[in-house]
Amino acid sequence: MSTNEVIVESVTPHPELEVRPPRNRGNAVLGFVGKFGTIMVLLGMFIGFSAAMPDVFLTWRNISNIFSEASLTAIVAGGLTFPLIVGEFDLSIGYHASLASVLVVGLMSNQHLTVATAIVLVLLSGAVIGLVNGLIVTKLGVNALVGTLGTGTILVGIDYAYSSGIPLSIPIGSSFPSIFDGKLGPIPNPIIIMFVILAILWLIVNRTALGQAMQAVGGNVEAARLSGIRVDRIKILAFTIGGICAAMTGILLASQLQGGELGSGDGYLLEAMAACFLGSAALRDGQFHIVGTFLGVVTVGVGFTGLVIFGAPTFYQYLFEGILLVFAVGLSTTARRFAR
Amino acid sequence: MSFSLHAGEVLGLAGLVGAGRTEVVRLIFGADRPDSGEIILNGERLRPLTPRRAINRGIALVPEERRSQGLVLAESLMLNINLASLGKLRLVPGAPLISKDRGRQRAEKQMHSLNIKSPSVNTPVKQLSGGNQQKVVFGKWLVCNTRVLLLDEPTRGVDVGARAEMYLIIRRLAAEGRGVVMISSELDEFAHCCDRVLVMAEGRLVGSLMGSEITEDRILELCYGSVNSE
Repeated sequence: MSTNEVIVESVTPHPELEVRPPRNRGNAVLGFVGKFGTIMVLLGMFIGFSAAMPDVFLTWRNISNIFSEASLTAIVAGGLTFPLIVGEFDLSIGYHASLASVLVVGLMSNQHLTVATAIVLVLLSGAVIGLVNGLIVTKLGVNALVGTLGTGTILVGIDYAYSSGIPLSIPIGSSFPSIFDGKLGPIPNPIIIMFVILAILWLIVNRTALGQAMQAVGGNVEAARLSGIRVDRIKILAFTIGGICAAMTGILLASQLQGGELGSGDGYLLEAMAACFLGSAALRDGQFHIVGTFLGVVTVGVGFTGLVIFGAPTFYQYLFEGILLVFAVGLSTTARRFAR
Repeated sequence: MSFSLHAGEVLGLAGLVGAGRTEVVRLIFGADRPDSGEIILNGERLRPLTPRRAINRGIALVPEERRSQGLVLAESLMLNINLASLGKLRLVPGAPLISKDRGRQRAEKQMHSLNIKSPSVNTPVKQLSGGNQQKVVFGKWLVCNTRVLLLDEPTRGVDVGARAEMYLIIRRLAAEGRGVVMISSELDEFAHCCDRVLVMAEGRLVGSLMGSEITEDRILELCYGSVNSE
């Protein structure tokens, strides 16, 4: 073929590369709301609560409490981000956190293990539970929503079998409560633990081959497979990381409550889900990411605390949580739809 | 069917839709499981039952459906180009952490050498034109040590200017010593690009053309000849 011809043709404009205007103004607005909606809601609530009750809301003590409470949600939500990144779901995390809280206390009070041994064993069990979730979803091909709902229910059963449904207390004089209650300087321990774990999770997503592969699997599973990525392995690892994080939240919860109780961590599922979806719309086009999840957790946390300080009845807290979840998923979907 | 591919050669795979061309390249790449048959690369018998193993041996596939099989559209040019060789980005071999700088350099190198028109390596590939997207898929395989490049309709949905560029790129890749298999439904492309063309019909090889024999008429004759003789 003639080389001249090629040079002439290669300078023809590429029509598809031209910048297209948004289809209409409404879509552009929706796109903007999608991307910055979470941050706007967070800022709005923060300013609103601060203005309404500056002497209660805007205190170091209150802010530090919000973050201490949020740190438990942040860890389990950070873990949930992984199955979501690879395009799956994990509905077992709440039950898993409950079981971990019972288990860690039981291992200390019934099996008389040291604090460190109990924690390590519970984290290991968390990894195993995540691994099993991953195997069920990938190797058995069970839909993740159904599969993890099933494993979650099994975890409740195990919880009953282990504790007979009776709340367990930690041994008297144990150093275990200081994990949650302790401080490093002015900063409560759980906040530090949260930031360390989120930093590790962020590194995994953004600075490891595994994390890049996860994003590819979530974006286009077939393209990832045809690029040599072992999709099943990546998904299983995502569930495993999620499991470890759920167990970690359970451990911190037990430390906070100074005991393990059936069902005590169940509520983390909805909070984590709302946080992840809120966060997926923050800054990015509906892709799940760790910084977004953190922003989502803080948003949920500020909202709850505000309601409590206002003295809103329990009814409103459930209402808020339900509306928030629907709103968050809607926001995430909107962000993805208008990401062009 | 049985055929051989030489280093430095561009081998065309012609035939009507449904002749089984896509199936052949997917089997060689390990995208689907073969019932039987073997692949021998430089005298070594391969069993690339998975894409990962095929890639490790230097076999690469530019799939038929670029958007659904070739690219992660929402992700950046950088991630897409490095996708098949993430292991090479590791800061220390075997260590989990990767170097984003190295990933960026590798992507920028391909962006320049393939003349990919994109604002930056961080641009999501869905914002690129069809031709530039296809070049990203090529780039993904060029940062690996690809020895055998399987191209399934590489110019589909690519505008005329970029097509001509694509032909040059294909010839260059072969000239650098790679073996290239190219499927196309645009019959004139075979004469532009290929040293040799195999014609398939109904899952079988029905003819082979070399050099000046490669014309649209001869290919069509072979495609339909076998059908009519049934």
